[in-house]
Amino acid sequence: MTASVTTTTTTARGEASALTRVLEGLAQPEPGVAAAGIDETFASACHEILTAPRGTLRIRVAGPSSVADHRITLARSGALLLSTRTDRDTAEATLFPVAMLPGVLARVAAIAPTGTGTTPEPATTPPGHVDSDDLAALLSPDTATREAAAARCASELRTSTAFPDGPDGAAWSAISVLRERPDRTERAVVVRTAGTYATAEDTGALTAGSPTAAWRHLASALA
Amino acid sequence: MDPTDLRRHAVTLASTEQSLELPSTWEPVALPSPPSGALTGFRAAADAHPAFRDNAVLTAGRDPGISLAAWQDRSRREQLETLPDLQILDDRLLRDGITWYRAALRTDAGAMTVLSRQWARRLAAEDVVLTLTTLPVFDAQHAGMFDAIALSWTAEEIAS
Repeated sequence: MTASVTTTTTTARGEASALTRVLEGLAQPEPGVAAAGIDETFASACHEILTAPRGTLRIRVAGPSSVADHRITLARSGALLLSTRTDRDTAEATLFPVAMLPGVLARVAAIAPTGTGTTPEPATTPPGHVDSDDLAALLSPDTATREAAAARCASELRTSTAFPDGPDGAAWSAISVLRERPDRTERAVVVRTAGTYATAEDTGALTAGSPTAAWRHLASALA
Repeated sequence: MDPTDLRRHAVTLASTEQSLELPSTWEPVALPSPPSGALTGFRAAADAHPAFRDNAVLTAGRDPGISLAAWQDRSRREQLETLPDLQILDDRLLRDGITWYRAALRTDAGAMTVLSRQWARRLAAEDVVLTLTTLPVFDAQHAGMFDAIALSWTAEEIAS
């Protein structure tokens, strides 16, 4: 069962369906068979986290050709990141201390400097707007749905003030962070083109901003 | 930040006079002398978070004799070499054309992930840097205050 999953003390990699089965098994009160062939330290830490979760963070990074999903299970003893992609059969699970959560969020959401380094930040512009259904469709796991939404948004964004440099249809990405707690759920969405980030409201309102502003918007789901 | 509750601190660092406006509850903090140049710091009152206090650090050093962009290229490389988990979020020349801005996440000495925002400028003979550091979860809440502190920053060379 675990032949297609390889583990170290802090990571597991392998076929997505096999890794998912392993983690489902480790979430049981008696992991037994699920832990067979799995690094003992990894299995024990996963079991501790998955049997006493205190919240979940789901990060989706959607682009023209693929969608990456990252599910972070948070517990008192640590955190477990499970990363899958629509264009790959393999998945990866990583254990990390909860204190590292902000850095892990920034890394998987791929928040990074825009422009060439000497490009000044975007001018303050009034917000732009896309249809809220299109905004949701940009985050669809279905490629055709994303492509259609990107095509519709591209024409709107071209005349929008949210992306003063104009969109680059080949380079867009939409990033969502969903924080699920027992009593409430927070969601934050950011859209990126080649040169600019925009923070998005559920209504479809887009506000151009720096990577710092994009990071702040996504991280607000952590607070 | 309550605009009536600010205090301007002025300091002499190397051959620069620098000042910035901070909430009145912030206090100076003693920092070890750097190998070259000079630095000073301030930190928030101890009531916000038991293990971390927002802080501001000002530095001055000899002008590196290269352009602002080249200096920041070099400082970025040095930071990436010395801080293994440094994650740079933002790194660019600001619209004023004289200030380089960088935002980055890193793990501090206490194993906490912190967010530092840096503003760097070159004067005629000195380079100066303002660094503001907070916890990432407080960044959105403290952003306005940090932006106001950065805007209040002045740095001039002392006429010789």
